[in-house]
Amino acid sequence: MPSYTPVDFDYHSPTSIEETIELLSSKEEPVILAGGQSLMTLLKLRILRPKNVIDIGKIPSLRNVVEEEGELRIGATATHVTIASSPLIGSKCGLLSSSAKTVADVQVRNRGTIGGSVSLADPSANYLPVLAALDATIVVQGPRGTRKISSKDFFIDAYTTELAKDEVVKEVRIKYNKNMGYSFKKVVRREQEYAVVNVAAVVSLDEDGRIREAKVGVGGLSGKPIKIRELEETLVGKTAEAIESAVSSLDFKVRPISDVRATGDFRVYLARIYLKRALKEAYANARGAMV
Amino acid sequence: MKVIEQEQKAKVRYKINGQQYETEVEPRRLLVHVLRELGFTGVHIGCDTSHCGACTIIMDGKSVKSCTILGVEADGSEILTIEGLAQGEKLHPIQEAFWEKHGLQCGYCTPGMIMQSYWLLKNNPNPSEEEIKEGISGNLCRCTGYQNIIDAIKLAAERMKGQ
Repeated sequence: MPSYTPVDFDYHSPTSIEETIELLSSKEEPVILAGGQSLMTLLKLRILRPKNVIDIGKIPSLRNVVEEEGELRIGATATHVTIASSPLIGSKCGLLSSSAKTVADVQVRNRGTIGGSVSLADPSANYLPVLAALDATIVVQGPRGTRKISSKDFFIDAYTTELAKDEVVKEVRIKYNKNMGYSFKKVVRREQEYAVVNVAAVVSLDEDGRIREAKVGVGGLSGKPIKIRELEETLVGKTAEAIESAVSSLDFKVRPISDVRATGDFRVYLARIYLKRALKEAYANARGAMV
Repeated sequence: MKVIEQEQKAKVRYKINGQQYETEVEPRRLLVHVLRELGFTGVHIGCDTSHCGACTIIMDGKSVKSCTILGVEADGSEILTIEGLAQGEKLHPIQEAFWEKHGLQCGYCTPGMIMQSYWLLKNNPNPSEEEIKEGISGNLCRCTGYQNIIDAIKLAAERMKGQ
């Protein structure tokens, strides 16, 4: 029976991040295997033909989710199901939990990891607009030490990141604010499909119900997730009534992706609709939190 | 650290349906192939690209697609396949419910559907119809017999409540 099998490779399962980096530097054509939910398909279809596969799934410290110095620190191999169900993440950054809950399907969420998702940098990935909106930091480690890279600099284009060949993503760090309303919305044709467009919005209000701070991210529109600072600034001091016109007149300033899932124009059209819905929902949630 | 070179076979151990197994696999072999070679042919190969869920098994307590895991990666894990659900001649309540509600047409997706339902009901013993749909969204039925599958899962949930 014909079956999809990866090409031959050497398999390594390091037990520490130092061993991983050593392998990355010394082995020919290596790839990192975390949850494998994207990598295995790329291997099976032989889109990737690595000589060495380095499985970081056996490094316990990489799976940790902790709170330190006022930020969430999520280990690279924390799975989507861990992120979706972690009470710590739920209470501190509901936006991230909410985006993790709708990554692909249950079986994929049981294996797939946040580190894998950011390393692959698929433009439609759920986490990307969230990380862009929240100005998350990606911590990477390599032979030259540790680097903390803002998501603005980390994501360069579709499947292209600042991560060097001999580096590995170690952690995702997110600073959060209490009492913020949030909303994550994803446009899909079918439940388990990749998003056409996805949006993340966070809003905090002052005592009078005016927007004190807004954070907005959009994914799937261009090769990398975008944070819309112009919109964030426009909304400060306003109420929910301002959302409609602010989003309608917004210039995304990107060349949208046109592909088999949607044309560029349709993506822009969808992004506007879902931005409005997400911002209104985030505003309503923030209001609810005040009462 | 474990290193297994290409074409070299590595010894792996799994606990499958309560019993210990030891076998040798090449690094590139997929878990679904290894399981089928061990005789667990209830684990089906459908799409081979992580979409269809026919190869769904429970590994270390979580439902996973065994075509998307390397045999060597799963070394040391505890696995439950469709063969491990029935108690002797007595079918599992989910299997009975699929039978009674005609939750299968050609039957190809059934082992994966049942294993995914098993995980779903373990984590959410009383799911709503929406939750069932979301819960099995990683499993495709090319006969499109979803309505009866959903009915079967509802019936199984009902019956398993008393246990």
